[in-house]
Amino acid sequence: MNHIALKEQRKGFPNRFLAEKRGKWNPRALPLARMREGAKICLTSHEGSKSSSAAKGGSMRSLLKKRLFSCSCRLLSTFSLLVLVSHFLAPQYGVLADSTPNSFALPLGNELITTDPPILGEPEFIFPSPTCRADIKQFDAGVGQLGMLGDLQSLLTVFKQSSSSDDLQLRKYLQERLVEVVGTDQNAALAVVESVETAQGAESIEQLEALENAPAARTPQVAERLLIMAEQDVDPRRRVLALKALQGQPSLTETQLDRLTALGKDKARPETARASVITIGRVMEKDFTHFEHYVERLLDIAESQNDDDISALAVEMSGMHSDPPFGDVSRNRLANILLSHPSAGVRSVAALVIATARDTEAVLKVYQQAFQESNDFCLRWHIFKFSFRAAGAKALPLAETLAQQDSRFLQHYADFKALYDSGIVDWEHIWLGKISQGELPCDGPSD
Amino acid sequence: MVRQIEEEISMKEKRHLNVLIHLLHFSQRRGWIILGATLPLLGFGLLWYMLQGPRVGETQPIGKVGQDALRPVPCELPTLLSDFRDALREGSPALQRYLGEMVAQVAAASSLDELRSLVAREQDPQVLEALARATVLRSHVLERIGDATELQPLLDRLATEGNPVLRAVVVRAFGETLEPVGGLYTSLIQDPAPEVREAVVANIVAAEQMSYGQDQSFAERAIAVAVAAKNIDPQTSGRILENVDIRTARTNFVTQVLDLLLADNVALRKGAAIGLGTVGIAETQRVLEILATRYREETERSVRKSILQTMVRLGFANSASLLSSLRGVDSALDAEIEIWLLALQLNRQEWESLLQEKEKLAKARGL
Repeated sequence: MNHIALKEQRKGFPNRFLAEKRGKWNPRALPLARMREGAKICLTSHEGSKSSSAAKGGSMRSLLKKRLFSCSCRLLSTFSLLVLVSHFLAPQYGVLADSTPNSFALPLGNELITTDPPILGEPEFIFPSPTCRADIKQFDAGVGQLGMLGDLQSLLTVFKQSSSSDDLQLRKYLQERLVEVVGTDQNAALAVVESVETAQGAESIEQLEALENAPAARTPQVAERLLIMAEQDVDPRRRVLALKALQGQPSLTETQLDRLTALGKDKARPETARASVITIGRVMEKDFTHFEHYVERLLDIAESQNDDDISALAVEMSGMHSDPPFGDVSRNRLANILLSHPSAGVRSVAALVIATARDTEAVLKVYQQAFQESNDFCLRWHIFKFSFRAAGAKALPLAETLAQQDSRFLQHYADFKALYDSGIVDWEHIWLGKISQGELPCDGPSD
Repeated sequence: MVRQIEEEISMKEKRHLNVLIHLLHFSQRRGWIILGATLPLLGFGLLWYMLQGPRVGETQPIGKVGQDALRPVPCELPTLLSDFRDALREGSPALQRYLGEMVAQVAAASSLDELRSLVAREQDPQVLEALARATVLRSHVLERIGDATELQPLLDRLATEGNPVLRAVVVRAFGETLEPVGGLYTSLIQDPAPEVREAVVANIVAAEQMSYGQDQSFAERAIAVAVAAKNIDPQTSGRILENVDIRTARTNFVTQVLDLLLADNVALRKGAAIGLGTVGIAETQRVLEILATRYREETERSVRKSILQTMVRLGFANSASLLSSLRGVDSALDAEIEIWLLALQLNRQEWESLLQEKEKLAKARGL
C-alpha cells in the first residue's frame, strides 16, 4: 500500500533543497552587488578620462583629480546607502544586529564566496560544500543559559532569520535546539506559538513545525492554542503548520477530534482540510486502542468533502491503524463509499481499505455488487485484486465470476489461481508473485 | 493683527521655501558632492549609534554571543574538529549532531591520504564516527560504493585497533555502504568483543530489511553470518535469524538454518525456528516436514512454541491439519495449538494481522 499521506504532506511545501541547487537569486546580495558595480563604473570612467585628456594634452592632472573625487564620492555614498539600507532592513533580514530589539542576527544567504572543494578524479563529482557558522558554540551555550523565555526569544529571532536561508543543516540544528530549549516547559511552548501568531512573512513561522517534537507542546493548553490557530488564523500556512505541530499529540479528545473534523470538512479551505485529515490519521496511529473514534471522524470527512483528493486521503488514513480490523459499522460506511461515491478514485481507495474488515464474507458481497455497478476499468481491477487481500484463496470463486463478466480479467484470474495452486498462502507473497509477472494495469496512487 | 500674523507666517514660509530652493539648486549642480558629504556623515553616525549597544530598558544582549554570531564563514576542517570536540564536552545534543554532520561533510572532500591519517589517529569514538562517515561519504560521491581501496582507511583502522568501542564505531560506518571485502562480516561476527558483534548484527539486519527480502545475497549473507556466530555467540546468531527474511535463500542455505534446529543453545534453536518462517515457496514443504519431526523431538517448550508459529506462517489456513495432528505431543502446548486454530478461522490474509489476532486471543485467555 502506498502512503499517499506522506506524499500529500510534502505537497505544497517549497523544496528548499532544489532552490539551493539551482542557486536561487538572493535579493539580500543586492547592496553588495551595487557596491561592486559602483567600483566598476569608477574604474572605467577613470580610464576613459585618462585617454581623452591625454589626447587633449591639457590639464590631465586636474581632470583626473576631479574624476577621482567624484568617484570616491560615489563609492562613499554607495557605502553609506549600504549602511542605511542594512539598518532599515535589519529587522526583516537581520543584516546588522545591535540596533534591532533582539540581539542575535544572522547574515544569511550565499554572499560568502567559498573556494571550490578539491576535485578528485573526474570533475563531475560534487562534494558537499556546507556553510560554516561563526561562533556557533557560543550561540549554543548562550541560548541555553539565561532564563527560559529570554533565550527562547533570541533563538526564535535567529530562527526567523534562518528560515529563509538555504542552509538546511543550520535549520535542522535550530529546530532541534528549539525543541531542547522548550523541553517540557509549557510556557516556552506557548511563547513559540505566540511569536508565530504575531510574526509577519512566510519564513518566520516555520519554527512552529519544530513544536511537533517538543514534549511541552503535548499539553492540553498548547494543543488548544494550536487548534485555535488552525481554526482562526487568516494565513493558510500558519493553519497548516499548526495542524502539523498537533501531530505530536499522543491522543486527541472527542472534542478535539470534532473540531479537527469540522476543519477537515471545510470546503473553502482545502489545504487546512488536508492537513487536518493527516493530523487525525497520524495521532490515530499512536492512539490505536481508540481507533474507532478516529475512523468515524475520517469517514465523516470522506463523506462530506467535495474535494476528491481529500476524501480519498481520509479513506486511506482510516485504514492506517495497524491493529484491529474494521467492525460492522465502519465496514458498512466504507461499503457505502465504495458503492456510491461519485469519484472512482475514492471508490478505489475504499476498495483497498475495506479489504481488512473483519467480516470477509460481507466484504466479498460488497465487492461483487460494486464490480457490477461500475464500468470503470481501474475500479474493477482494484476490486478484483483486493478480493484476494480480503479473503485469499476463498476469493477465487468470486474472481472467476467477475472474470466471466469482464473478459479483461480472465488472464489475471488464471495468474492468481496459478499462484494459489503453487502453494502460496498469504496476500504479501501472492502480490509479490503477481507483480513479478509483469506490468499491471492502473498503477496509480491507490495501487 | 490677524493679517499681520498671517503675513509673518507667509514670510517665514517663503524664507523656508527660498532655502529649500537654494539647496535644491545647489544639489542639482553639485549632487555627488552633497551626497558624498552628507551620506557618509549619516552613515558613520548610524554606525556610531549602533556600536553604542542597547540602552538601559531595551532588550539586553543575550548570552555571550557576539553580534555577528552565525555569520557564514569558510569551513576549515581543523577548526570544525576542535569545535566538535568542545561541543562533545559541553555543547547541546543538537550542536553535537550538527557539528558531527559538518565534520563528516567537510572531511569527505579531503584526499584519501588525509582521511587515512585522520582516521588512523583519532581516539574519540564520536569524532571517529564522523570521520568514518566522511570516508564512506567520499566513496559514495566518487561513485565507488563499497570499494575496498576507498574504504581502506577504515579497514586499516579495524585491523589495528585494540579498543572494541572504536572497532564497533568503524563497523557501524560500514552499515551505510556495501561490505567492502567479501566475508568481512563473517569474520567480524567472531570478534571477542560483544560491541563489535552487535554492530555487525545491526548492519546485517538493516541491509536485509532494506531489501524487503528481495535480495538473495543479503539473505544468504545473513545466514552465513548467523552460522559463523553459532559457537562464539549463539544468542546473537539466533537474533539475526529471527530478524531477516530468507525467502530468496537457496536450498543449501536453508539447509544450514535447518541444521541450527539441532544446536545446543536454546535461543539459537528458537531463532532458527522463527527464521524458517520466511523461507520461499520451493522450500516450504521440506521445512514443514522437518519442523514436524523437530516438534516431536524438541525438549524445550519455548522452541516448540516457535515451531508452531512458523508452521502457521508457512501454511496459514493449510496448517490447521498439521497443527491438529500435533495435539498431545506436549499437553502443555495444546492450548497454544487451540489458539492458533481459532486465529486461523478469522481468515486473515496478512501475517502481521494473523499474529496480532493470535496474540489478542492468547491475552484474553491469560496465556
